[in-house]
Amino acid sequence: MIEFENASRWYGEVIGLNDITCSIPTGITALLGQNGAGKSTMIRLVTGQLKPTTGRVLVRGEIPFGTPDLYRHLGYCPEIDNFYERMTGRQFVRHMGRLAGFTATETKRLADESIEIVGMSDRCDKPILGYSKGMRQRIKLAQAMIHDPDIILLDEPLNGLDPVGRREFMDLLGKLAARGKTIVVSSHILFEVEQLTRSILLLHRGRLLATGDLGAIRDLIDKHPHRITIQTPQTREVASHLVTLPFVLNVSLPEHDQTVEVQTREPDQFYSFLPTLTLEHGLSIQSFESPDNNLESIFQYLVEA
Amino acid sequence: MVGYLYTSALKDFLRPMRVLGWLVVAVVVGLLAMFLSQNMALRAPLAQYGQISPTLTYKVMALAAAIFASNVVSQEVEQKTIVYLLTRPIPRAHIILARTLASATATFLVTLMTVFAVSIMIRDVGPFNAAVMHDIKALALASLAYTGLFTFVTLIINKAMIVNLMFAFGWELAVVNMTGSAYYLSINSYVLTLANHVESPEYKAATRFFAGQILGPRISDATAYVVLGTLILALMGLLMYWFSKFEFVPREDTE
Repeated sequence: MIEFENASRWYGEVIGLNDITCSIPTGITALLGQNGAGKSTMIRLVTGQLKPTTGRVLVRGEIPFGTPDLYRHLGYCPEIDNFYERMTGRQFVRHMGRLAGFTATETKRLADESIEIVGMSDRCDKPILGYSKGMRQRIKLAQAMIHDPDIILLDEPLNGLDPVGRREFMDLLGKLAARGKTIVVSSHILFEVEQLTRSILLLHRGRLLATGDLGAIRDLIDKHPHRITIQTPQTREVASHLVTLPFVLNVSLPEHDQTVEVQTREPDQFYSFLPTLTLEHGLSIQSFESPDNNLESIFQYLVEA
Repeated sequence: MVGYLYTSALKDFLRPMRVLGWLVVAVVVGLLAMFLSQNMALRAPLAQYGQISPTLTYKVMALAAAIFASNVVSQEVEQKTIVYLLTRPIPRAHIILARTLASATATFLVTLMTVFAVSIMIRDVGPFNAAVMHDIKALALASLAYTGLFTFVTLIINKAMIVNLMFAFGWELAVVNMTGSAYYLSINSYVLTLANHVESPEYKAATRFFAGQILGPRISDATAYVVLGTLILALMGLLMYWFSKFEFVPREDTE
């Protein structure tokens, strides 16, 4: 559905996207990367706002820049939080419907449906100026869906949504994907993406670092030592038990701190063992966390790999 | 689609608060016109109108053109709402054409308020005088030419408003009063030819300078029509080409 063929994009002397070749199929695909990774650039290339400096981007077999007919198949929910603030949400969605080529009567019906889907029916007749972040996100999604596009591109759509809103939003995207839509969602938050899809494109500093199933990427990560920090008042006792485990590589006790730092190559086994310390050995564990579960660590691993 | 783009842009450009602002400008300019006419040496109404209209009304038109031209694209880029326009199934050429025409219409309509205010405030002229009709015709073409030019400037440079205002109040005022062929490089020269104001050499040079009447018209009406018409068409074509060819993405959004 969407093809990148050695596509690069430069902004003056800064590279935004570096020699990307990939294909985005139907279903939900996540663009995962930190700020400045090139996610928005990628989406702007697909929506024809930008042209690649080198290489090609094809959407349904066509070059998107300057191909307005193609935009009938594209729905775009931008990251920016800017609107025609004086308009009400309903007026804005209707305006976008008219710009998509529908008559006033058609637009009225489609806008109402779209607003209903995003759960804004009872709140969209006030000026956008007074909307919360979550309401703005919903209205952006409503305008992206009004013309029932085949491809929906969502740039950081979950920003600002409350937990219930996120869940509803994710469910909605799931339903759209089940109807055969191609949905591209950009995000810099790993756990968000994990709840949404297994298919990801991992971007780092403009480069495509990894593609495919998130599980495979996690397996790759797990081949590297995984750090886990345990908070406990019984640091020495906990450490003495952990050091005997075959899948633990290293145990250290930072000074003046009630923590034990562990490195393991088998995080799953380690987490399975952890309750044993409390249940069988009666040791107190206040908390544990892994600094390696964040996106930055994944990038670090993959770059080193 | 061009029709919807045009009307929606025009509604936006002529929001009630904006129209109110321009109405205040028209009233102030009208009062100024009354003050000037009461203190002018020549008492003939059309002689007074022939001096005051190009001095005041045409400057309001240039100011309006510079402001409305900035609404066509650069304001959308600044406010980042341009993404909503550029990702809809509308040819970019249609977007720029419709919005520029809406901008020219808005310029003309707000200038019209000033035309009427000035004509009412000068004794024995009134809004239905033939001289006023000439002005309306010239200002309609001037609105198209100036908004076309100013919009193009907004497409190619940042801080275009300053450049546009310098052009309108510097170049256009100076060149129309120059000897030699530079005179032909001013839109104002052609517009003032079509306006056909009554010129009175009895007025002081400074007064005639601001009215662009130091040397008087040197162009025929036919030439003025051809040049302005060609310029407007060329500018519209250039706008459509440029907007279709190049990217317009909010600057700070480029990663």
